[in-house]
Amino acid sequence: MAKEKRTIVGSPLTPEMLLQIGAVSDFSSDEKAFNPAEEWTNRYRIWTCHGYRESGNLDVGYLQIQRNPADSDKRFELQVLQEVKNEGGTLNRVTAKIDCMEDGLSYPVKWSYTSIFLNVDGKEDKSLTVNIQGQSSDSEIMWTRNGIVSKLTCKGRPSCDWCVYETVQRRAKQFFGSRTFDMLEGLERFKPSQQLLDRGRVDVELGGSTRRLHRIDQIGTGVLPFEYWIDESFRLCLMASMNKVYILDHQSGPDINDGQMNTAEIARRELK
Amino acid sequence: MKKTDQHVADASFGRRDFLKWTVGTSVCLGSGSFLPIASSQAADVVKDRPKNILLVITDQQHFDTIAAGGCDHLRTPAMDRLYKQGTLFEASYSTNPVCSPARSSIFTSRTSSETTVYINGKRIPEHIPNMGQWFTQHTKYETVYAGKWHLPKTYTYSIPGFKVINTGLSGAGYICDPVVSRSCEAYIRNRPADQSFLMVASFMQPHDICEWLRLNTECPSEPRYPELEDQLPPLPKNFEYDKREPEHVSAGRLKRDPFVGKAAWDNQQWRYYQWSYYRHIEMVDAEIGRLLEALEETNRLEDTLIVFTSDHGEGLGHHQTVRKGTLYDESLRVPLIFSWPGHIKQRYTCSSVPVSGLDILPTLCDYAQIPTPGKVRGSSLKPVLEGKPLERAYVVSEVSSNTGRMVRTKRYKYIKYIDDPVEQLFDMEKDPDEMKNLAGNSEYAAVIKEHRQMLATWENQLEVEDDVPYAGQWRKIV
Repeated sequence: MAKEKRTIVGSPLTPEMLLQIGAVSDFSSDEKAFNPAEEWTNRYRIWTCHGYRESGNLDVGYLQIQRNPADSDKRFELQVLQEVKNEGGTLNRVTAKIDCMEDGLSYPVKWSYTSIFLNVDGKEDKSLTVNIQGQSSDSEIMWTRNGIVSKLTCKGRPSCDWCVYETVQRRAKQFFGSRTFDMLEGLERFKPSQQLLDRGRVDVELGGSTRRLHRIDQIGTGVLPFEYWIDESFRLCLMASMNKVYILDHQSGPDINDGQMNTAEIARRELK
Repeated sequence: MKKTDQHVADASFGRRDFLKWTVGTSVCLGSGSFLPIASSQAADVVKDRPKNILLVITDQQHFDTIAAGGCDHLRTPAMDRLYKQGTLFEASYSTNPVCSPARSSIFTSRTSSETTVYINGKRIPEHIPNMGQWFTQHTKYETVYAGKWHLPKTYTYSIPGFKVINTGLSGAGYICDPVVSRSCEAYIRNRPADQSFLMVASFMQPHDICEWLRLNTECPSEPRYPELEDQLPPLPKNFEYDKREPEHVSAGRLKRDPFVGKAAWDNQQWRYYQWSYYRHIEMVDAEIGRLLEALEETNRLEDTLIVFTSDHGEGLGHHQTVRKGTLYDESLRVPLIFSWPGHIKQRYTCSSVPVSGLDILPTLCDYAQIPTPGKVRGSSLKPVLEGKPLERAYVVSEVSSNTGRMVRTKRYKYIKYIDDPVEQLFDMEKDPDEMKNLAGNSEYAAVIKEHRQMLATWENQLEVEDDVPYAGQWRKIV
């Protein structure tokens, strides 16, 4: 069988490049009324690229983040649903509820988190389920995993990746230069010395028209540089970190309270 | 890797001591027969056996990527922990610096030419038992697997001898490794304390550097993240190298990513590539950390033998190479750590005994107090892990498509490619960066001859199918 001809992408996955190779068609949320400091829901396709234009580019999951408004303590809640498919059709589903501080980098104060694995029939494999409760202060992070308590000493309250996705939308309203923080990736893995860098507004050429997006970068330990792209309504429409890309797509996945992702739907979305 | 405290003297060997080494611990029973043969190690009186065994495999990890081992360019708390509570083999070699071949050897203790997995995507023949099958047959450990397999399928729920708890996702370590570690963590946390397991946690990272390379082939006119300028590591000492190389190496280099772009990389881009690779290592370190925490929090850390290794290395700019597939150390050497608190020497670096992926299965069999499969080509490292000497003169590695061989003795490294008149010989004591090829120097003629003889001795005990490329030529290599 003749080997399929493949062309190396050659340069990083910018909005322009993602458009060129067919990962996205546009970056507009078409919602002028979007307010990042109020209630909202963002849905993302999780897309990956093997570095070739023609093959190996596919949707591998789904992330939904819902922001519920602040209460009297000046905290708000983030609800997270993330599903990632595995080879063979099984799924890992993570759900989380996070109480966040409204100032700073939306620092998580208290959270609950569940990871489950679903087999091809959609049934949960309970031997692989983990339930976690967590809380953090300026000096300590504490987790209770399946009933077992552990602690980690820290200097200053960490943020987490999902909280950063919320933060950058509000931060994009006003140029902030740079900001350093420590990160709890997935509310668990401690990755210190992160830096958010505000690149300001960038004109992006998309299929003959020009769009003005706001770019914020994140560099730090344990991650490849993240680029956050925020549209004119201050909605985060794209996150790209090397070959891991989150693309705003309101048609993607189920509603956060409705149940599981349709694996056939993900498989069908494989891009040419 | 910088040396650390050495609490016991390593076994040391003269150039001629190789004759003392008896290869493996098994007896050939004739073609196709793999009945268990009691090894000398298994017959030893062993106080305890580990309640659990955890084999952690990363993909494409350069040997010098552990902060506690002396690498200043990254943060690796989980690997540091293994390093500090275990024994590191400094001269640990992949049996073949390509994924599937190397993995076939780790799981069978047979060379990749013998398993017929001499290139990616081949299957281990049914008559050669793998680790999972062997442990299922001879022990009560539940054998579980999560992550990359690649023999032949990269990710599959069908691995002989193993219960697969999670497959991962092909070619996307950045996304699938956290899922793999989550499944392993959950298995550990939910498993009843009295039930033993042998778990293989096989991570994809830092292999995603291959994707990174394809997304960064072109050298940018301006750095995309100028803030990184003062964080970029220096170029390796052997970035400039001895150009007297076999054709296989020089031609192969030009086919790889940095050289096929519109413009060759400048030094800044090479350094950015190194910086990015270290971030990949940090990612997989975080996932390994999740497993160690689960073991600790379920009081299993003291009862679990942990083995940490990689299938092969990464060029990382040494000799201006990226990825793998050469027989230089950056491509071939891998981290190898054994840890079992109270049973294995801690904070110990074994620097003088060359070892390879062939030794992992015999070592696990030894600790589990079971015989090794027949015809294994490695031997148990348990003596070294307990502070005793191990007599060994050399290890041999192969390279993709069975085109090359490397013989590593304590002092020298000899490299030979098939049908290529250029041989390589490096004095690894004086020239650990492999900068000066001594093969053309008449003063070293006897050393070359001796290493060729070692290779011939090695090749003649292997059982390689005739349809494996160059099988006949390697048998007549002297």
